[in-house]
Amino acid sequence: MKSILLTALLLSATVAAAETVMKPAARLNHLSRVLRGHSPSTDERRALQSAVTEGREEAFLAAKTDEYLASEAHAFKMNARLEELFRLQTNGTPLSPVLDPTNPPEAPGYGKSNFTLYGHVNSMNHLFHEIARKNLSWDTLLTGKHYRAFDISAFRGFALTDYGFLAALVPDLKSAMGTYADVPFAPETGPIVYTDVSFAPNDPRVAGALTTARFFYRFANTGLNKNRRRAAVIFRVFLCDSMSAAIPSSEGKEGAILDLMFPHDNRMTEEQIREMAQGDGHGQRPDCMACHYKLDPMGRTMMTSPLTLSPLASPGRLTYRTSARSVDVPVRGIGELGAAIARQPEYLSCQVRHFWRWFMDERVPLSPAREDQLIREFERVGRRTNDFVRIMLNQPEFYRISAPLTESEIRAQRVKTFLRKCQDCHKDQFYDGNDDGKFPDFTSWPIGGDEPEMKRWVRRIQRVMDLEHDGENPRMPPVEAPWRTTHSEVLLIKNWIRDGAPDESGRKQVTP
Amino acid sequence: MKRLLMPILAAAAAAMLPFEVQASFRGGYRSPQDLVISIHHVFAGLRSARCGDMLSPDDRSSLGDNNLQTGEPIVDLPGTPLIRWIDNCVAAMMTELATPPEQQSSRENAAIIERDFVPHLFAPALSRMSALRAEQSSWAEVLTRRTFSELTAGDRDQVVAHWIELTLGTPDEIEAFGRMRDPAKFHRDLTDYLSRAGASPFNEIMKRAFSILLKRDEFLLY
Repeated sequence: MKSILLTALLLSATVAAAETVMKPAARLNHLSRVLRGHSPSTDERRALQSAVTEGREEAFLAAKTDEYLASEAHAFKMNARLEELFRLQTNGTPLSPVLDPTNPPEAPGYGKSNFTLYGHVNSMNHLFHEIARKNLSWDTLLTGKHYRAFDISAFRGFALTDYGFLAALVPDLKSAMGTYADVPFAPETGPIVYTDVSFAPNDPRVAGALTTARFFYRFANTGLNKNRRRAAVIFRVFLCDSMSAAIPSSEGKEGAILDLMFPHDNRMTEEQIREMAQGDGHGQRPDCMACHYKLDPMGRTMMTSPLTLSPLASPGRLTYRTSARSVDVPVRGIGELGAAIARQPEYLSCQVRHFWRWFMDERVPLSPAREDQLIREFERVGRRTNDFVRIMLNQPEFYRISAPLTESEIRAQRVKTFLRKCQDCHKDQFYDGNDDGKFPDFTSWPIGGDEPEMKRWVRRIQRVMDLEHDGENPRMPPVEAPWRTTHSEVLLIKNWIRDGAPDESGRKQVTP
Repeated sequence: MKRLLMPILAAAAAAMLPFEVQASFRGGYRSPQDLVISIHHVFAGLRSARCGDMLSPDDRSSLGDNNLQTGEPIVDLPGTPLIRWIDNCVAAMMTELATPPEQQSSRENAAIIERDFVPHLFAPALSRMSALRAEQSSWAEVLTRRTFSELTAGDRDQVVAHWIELTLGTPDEIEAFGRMRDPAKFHRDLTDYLSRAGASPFNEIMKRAFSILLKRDEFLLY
């Protein structure tokens, strides 16, 4: 009896599991959308049908995986992911079918599936493509020494291009010039001009995507930020240290700040301004030092390269602390900095988490044990991009059907989206109510770890947003913050708290 | 002074961020860039002033805006602005069909309309469409002057099935998203709805059809 029951249970579990796994057609569609950004063509769908009929769908899907991973569309998609990660646009353009010289208008099938060529206009854009197109090591973003430098000044009137950026390191850049003669990317201005440039593997002055003109101009250096802005991006992208600017407490100073911005009588004396500025010790406050102790030494590695790349490597340090260990590596130039980052376990963990977010349903959690296993796989394949993408595609969750979001999930997601904006400013601030002296993560429920803490934080949110009066007189966000709450956000949070701050499953976390 | 100005300057500098940012959605929804390029594919490479193949800075507030300070997406799920953007995009694409070549948004549009558009979007009814073409001077005229009711009921049925496949996928693919239980009924209902407006020209029918199809989760999700 027991064994029959066990068999029946096993059978029902197998059936349930089978129901959550996609059929071949859905698998092809999901694969195509994730890797190429668009659905499979009609011809591909028909070919899959034939493969299913002949019982060779697994071989067909494996071949399609290879084909998609080798496609320009996948390289372009990886470029888009990296743009999103770096928060910039590299301005690469998919060429329209009319401009595709490999499939002229008179060719059969024209216009069906020939969105295959992508224009490169700068070295970062080229590197972001190549990393997937040539299955390069993911570390190339940090340690790459080969560049394709573009001169598009004639094309778009840009004064600052890769040529100008690299001129101090490669004075004879134009003598090695090549062209995309076969790709009439800009027929009205002629072919795009480029030069391939390589540096020694241990050259401390260059470091993959970090020493491209696009990166430098996007995250511009100023006398005030002293390359900290660039350092913050490096910490965020490669070490998953969010590093958002902590807004110092403005308690009691709102009036002074407003006076400074909108003086009562339209003129203020320098003495008045100095008087107001007294007591603000940015750079020494704990909130500020939480970031500055690591940003400043990293920023120094780019000190000699304010706008264009310097022939001199500038010394600095890779410095940061985690709950488990302290890292302090002296480096000579940004090249050594990139290599030092690529050796850190936090880098491996961070990059694996990027891939997980890109390829898995975000509702599938990545457990620490699973993360460790994926890090080992990442190492096993030599950190090569497409090889690791393939490992992600082979995870059982990749083809699992995800149920539609429930109403409570959508509501929880909206609340978390709002709280994330609060979190962005508060996460690096110190708060003496917690053991580690940091604010709790507002998007990790229950906030603070248990129900009493959650209740305390919910009450606090209620108070600082002045929810009782529909947000009429809020203390948060502070006046100097670059955003304001909308009325609908106020109502969202107010009603959420009124209903007991329910989580994704609809379970009340706070007794109203 | 410098110290007090720091947060203000930081905020001002941060405010410049979004113009460089690639937006993204959560919840399994395709990134705005993927949506833009997929729509480009659906319409055989046609471009309009409102939607081409690349996410433009003007699109960011519609397709997913970002936190001014951090660049993090603050629009997690597709919402009303995306719906409006898709409606505008489809309307603009259909307007391109009725626009003289010299005034079109892209110099390639005339060639795409004349050569690729109809074979791509009306593949199952190509012989009947070709007969209509023989009576007009261009495909643009067919698409803007001839009516959906000039196709046979069978052709209409197959054309609508083709549009569903181009946007949402095959019935198996649609069911896998878990949103629609009966894709065949959806197909029937959409065909009936469009056939009732059959006296309208093709571009008007396509505007109605794609305004529905491109807003469904089966199109918007990975």
